[in-house]
Amino acid sequence: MTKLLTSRPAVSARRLTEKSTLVVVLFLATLNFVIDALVPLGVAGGVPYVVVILVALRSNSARFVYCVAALCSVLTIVDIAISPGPGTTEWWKVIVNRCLALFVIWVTAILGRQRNLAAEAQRRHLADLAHLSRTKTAECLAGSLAHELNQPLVAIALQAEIASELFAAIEATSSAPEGGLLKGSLKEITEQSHRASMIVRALRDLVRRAPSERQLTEVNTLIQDCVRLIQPAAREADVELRLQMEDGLPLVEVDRIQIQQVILNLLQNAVDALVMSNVDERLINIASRSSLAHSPTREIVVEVTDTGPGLMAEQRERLFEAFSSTKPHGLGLGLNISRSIIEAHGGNLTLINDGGCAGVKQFGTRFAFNLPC
Amino acid sequence: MISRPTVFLVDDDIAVTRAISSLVTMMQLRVLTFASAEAVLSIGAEEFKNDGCLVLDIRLPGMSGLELQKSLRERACELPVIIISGHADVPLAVEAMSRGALTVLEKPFGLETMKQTILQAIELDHQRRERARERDLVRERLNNLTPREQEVLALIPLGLTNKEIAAQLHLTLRAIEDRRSRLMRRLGVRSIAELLLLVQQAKAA
Repeated sequence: MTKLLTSRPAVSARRLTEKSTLVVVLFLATLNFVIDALVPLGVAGGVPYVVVILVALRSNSARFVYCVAALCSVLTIVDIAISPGPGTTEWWKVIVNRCLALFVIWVTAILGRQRNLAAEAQRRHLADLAHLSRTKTAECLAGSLAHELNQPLVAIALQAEIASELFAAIEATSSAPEGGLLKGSLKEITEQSHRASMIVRALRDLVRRAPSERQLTEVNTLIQDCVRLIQPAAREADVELRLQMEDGLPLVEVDRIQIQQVILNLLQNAVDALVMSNVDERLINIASRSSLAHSPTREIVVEVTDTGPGLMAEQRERLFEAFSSTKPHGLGLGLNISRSIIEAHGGNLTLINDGGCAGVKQFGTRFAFNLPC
Repeated sequence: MISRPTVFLVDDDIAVTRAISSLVTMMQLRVLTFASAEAVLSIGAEEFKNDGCLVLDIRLPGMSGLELQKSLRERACELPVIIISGHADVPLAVEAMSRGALTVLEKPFGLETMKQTILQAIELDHQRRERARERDLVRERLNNLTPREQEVLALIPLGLTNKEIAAQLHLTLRAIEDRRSRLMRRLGVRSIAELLLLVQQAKAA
């Protein structure tokens, strides 16, 4: 876990919370010990140490939690010696009370630790996903940039060479002394634009990652994972998510993270569209099915449909272009990246225009992609 | 009608289109530009009657270059195809080649390369059309023979002697010799070798 928290501010912030946790733990333990020492032994004064353990669980260190549990156990036992006596209760009840307190303290400590571990694993998974997503974004950014820049660079180089040839034709008739200079400068334009192309290409090769890892996967599991991840954002935006997954779909061989990224991207776009509009019915339908039986190749189709305002004609045209976005702060790479991922898997990502969908009466935008299996 | 060879240029980038069309114009060729594959398919078939070639960017909006290649072939348009490809499109380029593209030019390419490639493509197209024209002429000459002459012609390539042909067609040797010399005269060939070559030419796809 410490590997994730590498930046300095994060480390110092964590030390601060650990310190304050320690102070609160010591304060509560002392308080409970004093109260326990003042009341008769018959009162189960050891049980409130549970509160101390719960506070100690704010720390992620297992050693700290178990040390606090041990301290509370010692205090519970020591109290038998300094308390004003058993009062009206028999001694065996005192012993049973103390044992119960010890039991509760340790059960709380152990269960609490387990919950902390699970939360930690979840957090790490999300961090990994976010990291991979960033890497992929950088890769696609470089790729798109290379493609977009290459076009004007090719045009520049060609035009310079054309100008040079045209000039050669003129030069035959007139003999201005600047001719040599002009030729040289046109040649320079050509060479330098070729050089710029090479630099852009090198940049892209540098960023390009190793080939993706593919494994046989159930698409429905990927969808469920993504729905779980987008659920908090959807709930906040008051958007209902509806799943329509066909059972017993064949497995597909895909890069799980990449396909998850595509689904997440489509879901996020749908949520964003619903947030930006003021429609009454805020619904996202996610459907998965296998292709029709008479189709020659088996494939799985995944559809994400929202009830948002839909897309205007001009938006539809530029939909998959890099750096075109309808969102105020959008980079305009999401769908571009998603399409390249799906195409790399041998499928297509498309915007569906026709109406009629089980579950959603009227819809704004529907995207579908297919994966061959 | 003899008209200048045409270069069909399909690219969605205006700057690249302009540059290549200037180049083609400079080469004294006719250029038609299209921003998408669909636009190429919307023009009339007579446009493809002259010599020419297709210069195709591999990345196009809508219908892809590969699909266009296929559709054109289905319309019996066999223009040589030059693919322009980016660095990242190697697999696509390989597929284009396997589907019969003449060559793939990777961006950035030089003016001279582009020129030579276009000239080569047009020359290829010209040769192909010449062959097709000759073949059509030969076929026409063969079709103009009378049914009786054709009967004899069908048996000559099998290596039968005049006697054997006569036996097979239940005719006299004299009649076969007559027909044979008449059909050779009408086809303008002087030897059996020339005759066989002609038949071979007509059969070629």
